[in-house]
Amino acid sequence: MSLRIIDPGLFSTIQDLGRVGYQRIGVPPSGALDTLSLRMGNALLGQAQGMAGLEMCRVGVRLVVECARLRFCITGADGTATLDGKPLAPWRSHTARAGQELHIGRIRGGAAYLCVQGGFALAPVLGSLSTYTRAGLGGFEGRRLDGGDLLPLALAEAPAGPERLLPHPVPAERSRPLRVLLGPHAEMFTEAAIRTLLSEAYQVTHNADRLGIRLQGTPLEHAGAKEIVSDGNNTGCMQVPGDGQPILLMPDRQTAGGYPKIATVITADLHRLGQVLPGSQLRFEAVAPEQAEMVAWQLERTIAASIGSIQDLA
Amino acid sequence: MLAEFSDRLDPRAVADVRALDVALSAAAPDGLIETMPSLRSLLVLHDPLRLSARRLRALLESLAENLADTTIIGRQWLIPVCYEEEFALDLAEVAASKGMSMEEVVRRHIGATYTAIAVGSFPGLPYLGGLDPALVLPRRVPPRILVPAGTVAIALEMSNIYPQATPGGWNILGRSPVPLFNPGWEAPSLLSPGDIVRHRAMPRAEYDALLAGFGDGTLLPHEVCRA
Repeated sequence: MSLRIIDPGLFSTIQDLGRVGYQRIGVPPSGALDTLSLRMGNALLGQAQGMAGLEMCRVGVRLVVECARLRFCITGADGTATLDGKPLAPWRSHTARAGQELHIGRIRGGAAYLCVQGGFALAPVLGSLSTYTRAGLGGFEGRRLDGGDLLPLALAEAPAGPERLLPHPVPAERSRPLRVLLGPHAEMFTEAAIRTLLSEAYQVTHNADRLGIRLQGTPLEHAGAKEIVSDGNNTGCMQVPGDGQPILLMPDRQTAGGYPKIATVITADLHRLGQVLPGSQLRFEAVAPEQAEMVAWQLERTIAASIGSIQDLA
Repeated sequence: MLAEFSDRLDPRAVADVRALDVALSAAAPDGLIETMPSLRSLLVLHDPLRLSARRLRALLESLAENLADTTIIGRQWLIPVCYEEEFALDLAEVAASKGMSMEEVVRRHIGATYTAIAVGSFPGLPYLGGLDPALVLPRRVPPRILVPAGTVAIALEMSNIYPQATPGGWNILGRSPVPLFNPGWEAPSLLSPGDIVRHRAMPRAEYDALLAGFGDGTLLPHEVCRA
């Protein structure tokens, strides 16, 4: 009972909500780029929100179902998913039978997620199923999927039951600026640099992946030293190397880095970084920690309401 | 949240970072996700829904006021290194730039007692402080595209060992067969922040024998390298 991968897409990896507690020995958290979409996918299938799904970037997989009955859903960026050629609606569950072909083609956003009922029969590494490809850790053999892979499923036959629909997904808010806390090294930049960051748009370059998103725009000027004695990184922090072009660090980032970090995207907006596209423009807005916490609460309430709206289809 | 103790590499800051890390993990506030001690600061990752920035800041400030003054001594390791020409890609250059013989560079590299002041940037990669001041050098520009696993290299005031083949800009003095990271070990990183490391030189034949032993699992680094 598995999913036989015919075409792996561009960069498809198993991810859950990340690996916690090992940053101190050099292991970054990894985990879904867009945690919100992964959580919603699992919620649609009536299972724990943190279960691992298949994350697909830009181009999705083509696979053959090799189990008696598979219940699944696709969340995240819109794509052109089909089952034996018939289009599949997003934000609802579907059922497939042995031998059917699921194809998730071009993805019109950063990342899409395939969640399956019961999850994948893979062993956690350091407490997580997330794949960290740079060190070959976790997920499916520590790497992105390849043609011919047999991705093992936990359930041979999903329980019979009605499909479920999510009528009110959490709004994507693509045009709203990303909210940041200034720092931890904001004082290493000129006041003009801070003003520039908070007033101008930065373009997402093609150098954007699970490690980081390189941005391009008006250079951010360091007030003095352009490097620091390395210290810990976290996901969403914006480091600025000597050329003044910022880099947003993503879940597979290095755990420590030697460039000053001018600002950090707030927790509640991290999932939006998983959906940015090369060529698009990002804007940033500074908030206070109290505001960031309020926004985090609001997002959790919105998620709970959205999950509460899930209904059975007749 | 980042608790910074210094903007430089300084032993007092390293000790304070470790002491705060220990105190915070003992306090174990609800909503603490994980911490990362580094060379001069402690990164504290917290869930803003359960632990507000204001409460965390207050907690860190009160813990920082009463840091234990005792230095925490880590485990001690003796890690063998082969400094022979095939592995010591930058040894001749380092020696020339320092006006020393290659033997002198190796002698000084072995002569130091190192402390793992942080483990990071890659799984299991130690930043070993305590390099002989006469060996302090900048990183190489540009960095090498690929440095082999086990490479022992120096830059700034530190020495390190690359656990896996990666890009790297440090000055390469030798290679060690000792595996540093394995998710199957109870502690996946051989070295933890605070551990004490010394090196010894070994000939190529011993390197090959150890590499084979670690490779087939007949040797364990925790046993071979315990000082």
